[in-house]
Amino acid sequence: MDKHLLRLLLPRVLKAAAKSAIVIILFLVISQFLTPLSNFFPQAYGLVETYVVVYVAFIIVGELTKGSIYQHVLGMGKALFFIGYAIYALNNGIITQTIQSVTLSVNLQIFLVMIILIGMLNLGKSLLLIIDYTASKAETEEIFVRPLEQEVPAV
Amino acid sequence: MEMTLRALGWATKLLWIILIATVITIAYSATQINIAFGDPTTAISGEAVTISMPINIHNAGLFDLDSLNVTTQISDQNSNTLAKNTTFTQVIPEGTNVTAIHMITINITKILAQYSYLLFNDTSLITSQYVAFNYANAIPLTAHSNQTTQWGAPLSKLAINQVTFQPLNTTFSLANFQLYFENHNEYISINGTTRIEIYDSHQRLIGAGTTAIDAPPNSSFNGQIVVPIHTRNILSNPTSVRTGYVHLFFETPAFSYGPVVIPYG
Repeated sequence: MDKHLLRLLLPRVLKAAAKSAIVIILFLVISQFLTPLSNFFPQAYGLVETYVVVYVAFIIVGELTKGSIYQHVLGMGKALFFIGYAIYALNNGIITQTIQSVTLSVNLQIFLVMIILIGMLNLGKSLLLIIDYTASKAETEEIFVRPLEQEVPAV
Repeated sequence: MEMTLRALGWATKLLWIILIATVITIAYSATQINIAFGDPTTAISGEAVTISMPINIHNAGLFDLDSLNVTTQISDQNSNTLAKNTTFTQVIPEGTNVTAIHMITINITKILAQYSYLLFNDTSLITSQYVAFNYANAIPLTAHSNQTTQWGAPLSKLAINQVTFQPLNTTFSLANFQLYFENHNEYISINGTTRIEIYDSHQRLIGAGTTAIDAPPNSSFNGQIVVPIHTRNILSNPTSVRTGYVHLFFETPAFSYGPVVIPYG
């Protein structure tokens, strides 16, 4: 493998591994608190687990694409996934469970609105980062690349 | 651009803090609420049965609990509402203890007049209980349960045997027959009177009388009924009295019902 590429990727891989490890440890700690919830909301563990798996995947790909436009595109994807998954996991904000013969229904739409708002802010931030990235890239080309091209006479 | 990005980042962080703090405080407060349903007591007054159930709510949480709605509905298999009542409490502030009495009154006479099949057929009744409240002015919560209870017919297997006529004297004869029914109900006591009217096949009233009946819950009644009849009613058209109808009118403290028409002959 190219030494330069290895030197570039190795710290990123290590950083991604460290971040993923922290998230997984946090999940394992939080999952202990999810056990009492399992009576009322048995799907809670599975939903959080799926989210953590996707989140770790985003961390790894995010670290590997750091410094490129893909990092911000991935950020947008992450925000959209966050919103969509929250809507799916909270069942549009209304969670209904039947325990023995009692049907319980909790309206968590206020939390869903807050989660969607956070997701929208992240989405907006990623969009601005993409605009910023492309603008600064165009600016760099304008300042450094074009003058160089103009200096070299066409053969 | 940098300022905008920084502002967005802070706004996101702030929202996360608010969300997590809200979830933690509400979840903690919810564990501090204790709702206890007391033992129901039954009171029978006249033709109404009132079931009362105390509900004790101890709100030791950090938020108010408002719009508490407890509804009980009793309905039959065909979804006909037999009785329904709602107890509403506007607000239970944090740190208070409130006891509400939830009552449901069942007017047996009214129900049996409308759904007379309940007098004669054992069936299942559905008791639906619905509890709803709004917690912290933000989270509406509802709980709903259906329970099936057995209804025992108070006049199950109501029947009379063959009516026979015996001359008493020159003026009167006696119509004899056996009245039988089973009281399958656990609460209603059939302790009253039955008015009997005997009609011939031409629907002419040929005799009437009243007899006492007594069938405590989960028992049966089997009594000999004797009704005086004018002999001339029999002699005027002897063939028409061979068949006819007996009309029964029940009068008990729990309900009044009639006529129950039973053919004879």
